[in-house]
Amino acid sequence: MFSEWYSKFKTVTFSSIVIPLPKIFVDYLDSDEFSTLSEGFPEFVVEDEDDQKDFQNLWSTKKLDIKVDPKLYQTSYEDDSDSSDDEDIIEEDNTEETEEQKEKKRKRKIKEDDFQDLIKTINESIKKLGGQVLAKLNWSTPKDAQWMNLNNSLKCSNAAEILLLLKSSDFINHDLAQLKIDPNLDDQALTPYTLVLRKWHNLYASMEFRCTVKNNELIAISQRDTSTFYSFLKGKKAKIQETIQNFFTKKIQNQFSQNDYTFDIYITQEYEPWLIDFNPIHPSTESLLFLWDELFPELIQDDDEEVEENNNEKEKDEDDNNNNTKPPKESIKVIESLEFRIVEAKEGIKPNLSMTSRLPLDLLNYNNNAYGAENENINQIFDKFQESTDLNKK
Amino acid sequence: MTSTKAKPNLLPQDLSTLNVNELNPLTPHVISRQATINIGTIGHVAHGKSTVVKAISGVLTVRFTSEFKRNITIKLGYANAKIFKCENPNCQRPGCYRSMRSNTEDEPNCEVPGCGHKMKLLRHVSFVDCPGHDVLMATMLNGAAVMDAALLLIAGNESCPQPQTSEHIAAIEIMNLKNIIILQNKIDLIKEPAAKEQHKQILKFIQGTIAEGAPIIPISAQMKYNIDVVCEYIVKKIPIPLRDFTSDPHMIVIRSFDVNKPGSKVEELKGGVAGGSILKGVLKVGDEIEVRPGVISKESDGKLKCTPIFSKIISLFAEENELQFAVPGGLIGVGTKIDPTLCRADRLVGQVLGSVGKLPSVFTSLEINFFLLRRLLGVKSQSKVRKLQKDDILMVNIGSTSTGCKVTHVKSDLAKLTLLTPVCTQVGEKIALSRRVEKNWRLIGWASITSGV
Repeated sequence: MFSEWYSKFKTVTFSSIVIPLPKIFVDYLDSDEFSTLSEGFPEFVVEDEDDQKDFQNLWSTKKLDIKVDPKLYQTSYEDDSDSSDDEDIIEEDNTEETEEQKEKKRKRKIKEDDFQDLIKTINESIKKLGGQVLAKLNWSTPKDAQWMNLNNSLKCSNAAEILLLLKSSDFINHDLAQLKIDPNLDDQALTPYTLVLRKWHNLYASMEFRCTVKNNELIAISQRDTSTFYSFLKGKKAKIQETIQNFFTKKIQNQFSQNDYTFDIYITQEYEPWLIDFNPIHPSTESLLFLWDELFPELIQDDDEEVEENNNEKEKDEDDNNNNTKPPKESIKVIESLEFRIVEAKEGIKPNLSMTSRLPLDLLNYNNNAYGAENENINQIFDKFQESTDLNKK
Repeated sequence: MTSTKAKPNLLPQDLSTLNVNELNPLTPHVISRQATINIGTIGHVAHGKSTVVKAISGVLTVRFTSEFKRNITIKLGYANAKIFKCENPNCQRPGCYRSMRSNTEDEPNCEVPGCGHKMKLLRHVSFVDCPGHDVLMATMLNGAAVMDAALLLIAGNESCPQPQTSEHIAAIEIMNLKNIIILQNKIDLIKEPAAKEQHKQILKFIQGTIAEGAPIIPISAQMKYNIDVVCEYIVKKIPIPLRDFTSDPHMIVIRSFDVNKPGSKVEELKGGVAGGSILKGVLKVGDEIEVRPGVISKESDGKLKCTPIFSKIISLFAEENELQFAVPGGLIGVGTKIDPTLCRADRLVGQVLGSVGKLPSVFTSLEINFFLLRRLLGVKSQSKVRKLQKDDILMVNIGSTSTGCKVTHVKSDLAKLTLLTPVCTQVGEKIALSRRVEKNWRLIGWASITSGV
């Protein structure tokens, strides 16, 4: 957890402010209700003010001439009369009490006005940190929601931007599932959840590295941006390794609360190391240019289902699965002394893996074949997309 | 400099004699350096998808050196391959077909023992891991034919249909792929009668589907068995796609980076790099280009302004091959004079790159005609889709872009949206709408843009 290590490593990492979160804010993040501060959406300069006015005041008369299947789609007319809210969102019978509670939580409408003090604190903290920050919860940064911010970036300059990112992120949801909070707690009572604001730095992705520590020894360093070949890194490799090794020995070794962990580090052009974050040895932590098998073979279970459970692992095990159904264990060399891996050759443009977070879950599931019988349904939906496209062409 | 740096084994590209009207997906000086045919690879990872691509393309995914060599598949994604045929008329099929890496010379020696002839380059293909989400979305929303064909993988050592196979066929149907080659992989693990039995099962299974009539090739990617047959089928069964080389170029950006060493002096700074797929037209080194929507800046009154980026192409590449001009096919890297900090960390993802003044409009607000689902998709959830309301925050997918939006007005099946970030698009484009439900982004419907500012 960030707040645990930050006080200890304050001098070697980016300035940060930890804000304890009241229950009402955790509930707000937990809820499906999604509105935003009035200033939450940026206002863009429009060249032609008249156009803008016309746009706001007029409605198009030309509509698509598409007949959609009323079994799948709502028709606009029936909706007009019925302006009631959301009592019909869920039809499921929630017999279990816990489900009900969850349900209540999901539907609870909390407006930003309900935690104005917190928003004030956030905005003040941003100012203290120089006006631009990166926000995270106890463990995760909402990297998967980057598209929900200006410039495809995690850089935030006000509370509204932070709220949008946090509410859009599955990573943040994951954090929210980690700690149980008493539902009867007072709204203003503080929870173990914290919002961490860190001073924003425009880092070079090329100079970020992930280091793996085993039994309190540094055993692996990997380039963090594994999709790009940086031609200059080769020449700097020895110096970078020396810098990280020294930094580890002096500032990190035996000082972190665990013996096995990873830490991310940024090396400035003056070879000054900056600690970015710590991560546990866990399948959800990316091992990047290494395999977990190489680093912690003792933790790898020979269980296909285990492999299936974790997508990252699955990718890496792909080869093994191909060679044979069982991974050829003997071919994996266990790393014992420090090894430093970087991307060594230009390979052309690679797709960005994080792009998957920019799609609705339904499409991802579709790709991952998570649906069975429902497939037909999905196909019909896609057919409609296609059909309308054809119609438009005519 | 108008011709590509001397790379002895590849054909030079000369802009001074280039006539785009004469180009096609088989033009020798195009396919010497870049792929022009996109083939989706569809199948379960455990069925050997990446081994198949490796067997054909030779693309190893080792990305690091150490004394210990082991292939780590980070994500294959895309891999290009050249397909050759021996020029010796007596060289027997299928052994006369061969595939090699994208950077292989155009006339390598035939490897059939005793042949001694040269081989001729017939195709340069790009394998795309499917169903890739970006591909699927683009096709779904706007019918863009990104894929020209599909390789459908079935594991030979399991009975057919396998759990995912019908889903894979459905994916092929969505992408509207008519040219399918079915690969019965891992044939080395089974005996001949079992292989024949499975062949029958496959035939029966694909009856009535889009894959009906597709050739079924037994292969072993592991043993490199029948890879030559696959090459022959790619050449003979996949029609040459019709490409639009003459329109104004239009590329969707899927990556962007800053490759500079920290602390580089201004005079040694390299411009930003953008990578993506060209949907139409030809990009040339030296071209003046525009990237839309561009950069967002804050005005003095606190409002934001979006300014397109104008720049120049200084280099082009496909995998590691340098290009003088790039046509649709595979993924293309574009070296520009754009301020590298604007390209850093994928900041340009979802933007559009093309000729100056020729790209679609940039909108920050849209009016849409929408169609909402009655219920969410999926078995577990019976949730009804709540209708659009003022102040709803949604995720919109527009072309290859995703952004947030806020609903500002709703009137029956029309709605007005304020976008979080400007989007380069046009009236008539389809967009997908998703809402946060049960803490996930779920598809709630789709819409067509009726107007925008």
